[in-house]
Amino acid sequence: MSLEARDLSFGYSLHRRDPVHVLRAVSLSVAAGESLAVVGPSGSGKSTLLHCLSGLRAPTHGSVVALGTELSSLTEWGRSRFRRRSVGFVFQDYNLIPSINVRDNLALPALFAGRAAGRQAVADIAADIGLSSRLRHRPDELSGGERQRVAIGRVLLSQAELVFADEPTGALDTSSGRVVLDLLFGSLGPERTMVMVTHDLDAAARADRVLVLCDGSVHAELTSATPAALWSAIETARADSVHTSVGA
Amino acid sequence: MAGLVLRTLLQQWRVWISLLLFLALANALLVSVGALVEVADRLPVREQRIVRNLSTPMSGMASVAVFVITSSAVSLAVQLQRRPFATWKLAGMSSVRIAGVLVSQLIVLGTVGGALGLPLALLVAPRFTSWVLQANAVTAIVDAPASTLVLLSTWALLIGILLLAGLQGVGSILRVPAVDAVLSAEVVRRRPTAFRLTLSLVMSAAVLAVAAGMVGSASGDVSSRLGLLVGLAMLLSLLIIPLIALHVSRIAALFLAAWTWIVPRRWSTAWYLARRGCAFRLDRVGVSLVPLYVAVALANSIYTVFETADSARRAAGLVPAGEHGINHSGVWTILGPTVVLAIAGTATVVVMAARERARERALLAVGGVSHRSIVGAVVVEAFMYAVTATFLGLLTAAAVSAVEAEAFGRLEAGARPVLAVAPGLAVGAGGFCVLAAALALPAALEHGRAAVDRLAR
Repeated sequence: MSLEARDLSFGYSLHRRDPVHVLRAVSLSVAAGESLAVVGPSGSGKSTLLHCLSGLRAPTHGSVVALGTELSSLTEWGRSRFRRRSVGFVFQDYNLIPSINVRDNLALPALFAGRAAGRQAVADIAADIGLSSRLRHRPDELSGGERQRVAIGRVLLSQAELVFADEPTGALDTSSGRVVLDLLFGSLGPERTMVMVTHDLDAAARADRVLVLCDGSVHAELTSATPAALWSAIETARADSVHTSVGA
Repeated sequence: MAGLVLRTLLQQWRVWISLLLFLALANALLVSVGALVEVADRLPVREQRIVRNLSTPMSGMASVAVFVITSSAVSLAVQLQRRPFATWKLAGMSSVRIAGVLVSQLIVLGTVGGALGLPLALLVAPRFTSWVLQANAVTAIVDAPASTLVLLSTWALLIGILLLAGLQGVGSILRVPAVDAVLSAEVVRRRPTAFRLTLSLVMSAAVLAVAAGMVGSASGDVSSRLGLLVGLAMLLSLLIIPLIALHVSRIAALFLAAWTWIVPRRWSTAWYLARRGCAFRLDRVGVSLVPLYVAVALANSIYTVFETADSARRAAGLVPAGEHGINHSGVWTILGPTVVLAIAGTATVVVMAARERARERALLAVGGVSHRSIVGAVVVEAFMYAVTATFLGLLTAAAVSAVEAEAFGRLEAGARPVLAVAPGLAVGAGGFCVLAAALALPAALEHGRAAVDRLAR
C-alpha cells in the first residue's frame, strides 16, 4: 500500500465548549498508482482528512502510514523531510510562493529536496503545462488556471510519489478546470498515487475510487462511479446524517 | 464615520499597533529635543551656543527621521489595507470618503500615539537634557522639565508629520482600481507617482543649491567659513538622505541583486529564499530598508562632515598638533535620538508586515522546508537588508564627502576628504540585530503549529 490510515480521528474544542469531532475513526488505504477522490458536503472533514494523510496535521487518534513510514513516529523535522521528498500538493488557492517567478516556483520543491532541477527539465515541464512563455512571470501576473498549472508542474518536477490535491478546480472555470484535471490525472503512473478532495463530481468520477465522507465518517466507497451515482451517494449520506442527528 | 474609523483601526490592530508605539516613542524623543532647545535660552551666552550647536541639528535630524520613517510606515499600512479599502469601494463608498477614513485614522493614531508618549516624554526629557548638558561640559545647572508649549507643539508637529506622510497613501487609495486590489492577494508593484517625482525634483534642486552654496562660499575668515560650511554640509545631508530614501527601494534592489549573487542557489536554500524575498519586498513595498538606511546614512554623513571639517581645521592650523578635534560625545548626542528612532522604525515596519510574512513562511513549511531553514532564511534576510542599508548609507556619505571636500579644498589646499565608515557599520550592526530579532522571533515561535492553520489565517 502507498497510503494507509487506521481509525483516524481529529477533533478540537473551542473556548471549553463541547468538542467538535471533524473526523471519526476513518480508515482507508490507497494502492501505489491509484487515485482516490474524497467527496462530501461542506464541513464533512474532507480537507482535514487530506491534511492528516499528508502529515500537515497530526490526528488526535489513529495512524497514517505513507510509503511505509508511520507519520506519527516522525518529529516535525522528519515530517518536513517526508513532505519535501515524497509529497506534492495542489491547493484550491494555488499557494505558490509570491516572491519568485514561475521558473523558480517550478524548481523549488526539487531544490528543497536536494535535487537541483536543470534548466532543460524546467523548460520541458513548462512546455507540458503550456507555460513556456510565462517562466519569468510572478504568480500574481498569471490567471487562476495558469497558477494551478504551475502548482501541478511543481508536483511533476518534484517527482513526488504522493500527490494531495485539495479542490484543485475549485477556483477555475470549466475549461481551465478540465485542462488542470487532464494534467493532474495524466501525471499519474505506477509510482505516483493521488488523493483528491473535491466538490466537482465530474472530477471525482475520473478517480479510480471515490470515498463519500459525511460528518467525519466514511459513508460509502464507490469504484468507477458516474457523477450521477456520486451525487446520489452524497445525498443519501446527507439524509442518513440528518436522521442520525435527529434520532440522537 | 467615527464608528467606522475606530472599528477599522481595532480590526486592523496588528497593522497599526507598532506604528502607534513608534509614534509614542517619537513624541517622547521630539519633546526631549524640544526641551533642550528651550533650555538653551536660559543658559549663559557661551553655553547657550554649545547647546544650540547640538540642539539645532538634532531637532532637524529627528524631524527628518520621524517624517521619512512615518511616511514609509503609513505607505506600508495603506498597502496592507488595500483589500478592506477596495471592498468598501466595490460596495459603493467613494474614494474621497475612503481617503477621509484614512486621514481620520491617522489623526486618531497621532493623537493617541502622542498621548501615549507624554508620560514617557515627561520622564525622559529632564534626564535627557541634564545628560546632554553634562556630557558636553555645560556647567550651568538648569532644571529642565518640558514646558506645556513644547509638549503641545511637539504633539501638533507629530500629527502634522503623520498627515503629510499620509498624503501619498491617500493618493494611492484614489488611484488603485478596487477590483485589482480585491482580486490580487499580493501587494501591487509600486510605480513612481507624479507626487514622488515632483518632490524628487524639488529636493534635487535644493540639494544642488546647497552644494553650490558650499562650493561658492568664500568670504570671511577661515574659522567662520568653516563653521558655515559644516552647517551647510549637515543641511546637505538632511536633504540628500530623504531624497535617496524616496527611491531607495529601486536603488537597493539593484545593489542587492548584484551582491547577493555571490552565493549560488545550490549552495544554500536559505540564502536563495532570503534573496528572492528581499528583492520581492523591495520591489513591492520598499519600506523595510528605509529606517535603517536613514540611521546609517545620517551616522556616516554627520561623522564624515565633522571628520572632513577637522581635517580642514588642522590644515588651517586651527587645531593644535596632537589634539583630536572631534567631540565624539557631542556628535553622538546629535545622532542619538535619530538613531534610536530609526532603529525603532526598522522594527516597526517589520512588525507591521508580520502577517504577510507569516503566510509566506507557512507556504514554505507546507512545501517541506524545515523550521530551522525557515528561521535561517529570515536571519539571512535581515543580514541582506542590513548590508544593503549600510552600503547605501556609505554611498550617501561619500556623496556628501565629495561636495564637502570640494568646498573645503577651495578654502584650504591641505584639507582632505574623509569618509567615516565605522559609525555606519556600528549602526548597521545594531540594525541587523533588531531586524534579525524582529524577523526571526515570530518565525521561531511558530514551531509546532500546523502550517495549514497558519495558511488559512
